[in-house]
Amino acid sequence: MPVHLKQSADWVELKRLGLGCSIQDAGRWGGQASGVSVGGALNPYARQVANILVGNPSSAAVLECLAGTTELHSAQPRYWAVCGRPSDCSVPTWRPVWAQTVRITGRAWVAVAGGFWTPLVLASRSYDPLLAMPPLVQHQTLPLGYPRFVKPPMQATGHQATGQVAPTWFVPDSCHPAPQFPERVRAYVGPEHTWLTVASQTALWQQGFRLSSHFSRMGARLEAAEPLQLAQVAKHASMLSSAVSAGTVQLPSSGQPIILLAAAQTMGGYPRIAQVAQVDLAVLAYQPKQIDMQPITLEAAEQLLRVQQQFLQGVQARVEYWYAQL
Amino acid sequence: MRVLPWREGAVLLYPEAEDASVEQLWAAWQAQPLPHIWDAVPAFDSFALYFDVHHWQREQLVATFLQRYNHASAAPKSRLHRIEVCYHPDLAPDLLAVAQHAQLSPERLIACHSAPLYTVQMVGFSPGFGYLQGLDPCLQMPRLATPRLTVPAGSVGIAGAQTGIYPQASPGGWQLIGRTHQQLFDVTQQPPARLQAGDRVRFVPISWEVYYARPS
Repeated sequence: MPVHLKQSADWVELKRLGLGCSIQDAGRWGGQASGVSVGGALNPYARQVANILVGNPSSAAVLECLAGTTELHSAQPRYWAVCGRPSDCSVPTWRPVWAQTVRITGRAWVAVAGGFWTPLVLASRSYDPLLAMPPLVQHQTLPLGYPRFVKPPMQATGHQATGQVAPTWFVPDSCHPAPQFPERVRAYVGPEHTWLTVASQTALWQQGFRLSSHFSRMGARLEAAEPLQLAQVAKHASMLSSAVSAGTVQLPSSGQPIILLAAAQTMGGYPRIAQVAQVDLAVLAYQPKQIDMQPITLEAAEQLLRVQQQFLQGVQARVEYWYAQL
Repeated sequence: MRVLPWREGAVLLYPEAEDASVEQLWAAWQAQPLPHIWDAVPAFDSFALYFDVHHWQREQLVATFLQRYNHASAAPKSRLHRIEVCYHPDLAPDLLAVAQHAQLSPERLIACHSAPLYTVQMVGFSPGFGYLQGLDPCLQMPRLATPRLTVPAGSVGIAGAQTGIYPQASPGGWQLIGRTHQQLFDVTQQPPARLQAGDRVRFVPISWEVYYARPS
């Protein structure tokens, strides 16, 4: 059932604003030929689940919180969903919560019933600093859309003091809920994989990588004990810039790969040695300290994505049923 | 056509000698695009398609695409943009260095840079940044050893065999030889980038007085 939200007179106030907070949706598609990057939430799974939990279309805009403490206060109590791995949160995560104030510390994607209704730029609300969009500021108010579900839950665990109520059930994270050392990231070979030496082709899957502190929405720099090497022939073959996207693993001349993330540029000129399965972008969104790349096929990655879509449809059906019972 | 499956919900096409060029594919695509495609991205020698997996099977999309667009005869329609550039050294911090490198007088350099009819090969790097092909070989110069942290919007630069214009202030390593007052990227336009792959560009030298008299 297609759901079309409309702007309402309601709003939320950003009482506190953490580091790197931005409004993100399913991304800005259709502008890559003009050099406009796709962007969107770093963790597409958390963005979709959070939206489904509050009755929004899964592509609606959420608040992406990367670090620090963010506090949101809405004019009226309403449904919220906080999905991610926050180190501290004033409401239970990965489930709908009826509340007026939500405080998050750490990394999470926050959906509110009706969706954040910031202005569309090239058909998307995703913040892109290159499009001269205003960044979020503390104490600003954000407009909201009309919520589909406005009736508070009856039977649920709740904190009477804060007036918040939430069910005991929750939707599981797509990856392990606690950080793993190393974190497993599934990937398949990229167009220039064969440019690597035979030894490096194997090393890509066998040696682990540390993530350096250079982590941004655009990409994560990896550090390997043994830098990956290009074969002699490939060193002389220069690559013409070609399409890259979230999940593309590029190899600059340093031999230390870069994994591009949601705010990837549209083109890149470094060999694309691998591509991370789209479902495992959620793992990278949590900025793991160390990763192991596990080889799969593109067909397997496509199947994982289909399975995840089916799972999300199931979640949507269960959530609709839960709201219908209220 | 070399077809790379590349990614979930995307396919990468590399035209070969007997195929239509990327420029021709892009022109044909813009005239009559296929439905249920998220994005079509022409690059120097490749063409990427991001498709809706609920509507397209990869093989079916590739077959439809090739049948519909891979006619090398399709003449690309191209628009001509006249971009007014002020080459005054105040707005062109690397003009004298490039002139010295090319062993030309600044006047000769300006004449060499504004003479060719350039072709937009690709738009990328940042919103609206077009890579222009056709630079006079005598003006070729490597990029700066250390990129600038900010390059003003409208700056016209040279890097290797290419020239281009920075649509917005950004970091950059190109040798800056001029600046335009004209807006090259506007989110209220469709498409937002003024230069599109395959378009032609001619630079028109203007004086410092004219540059500042123009509305930016």
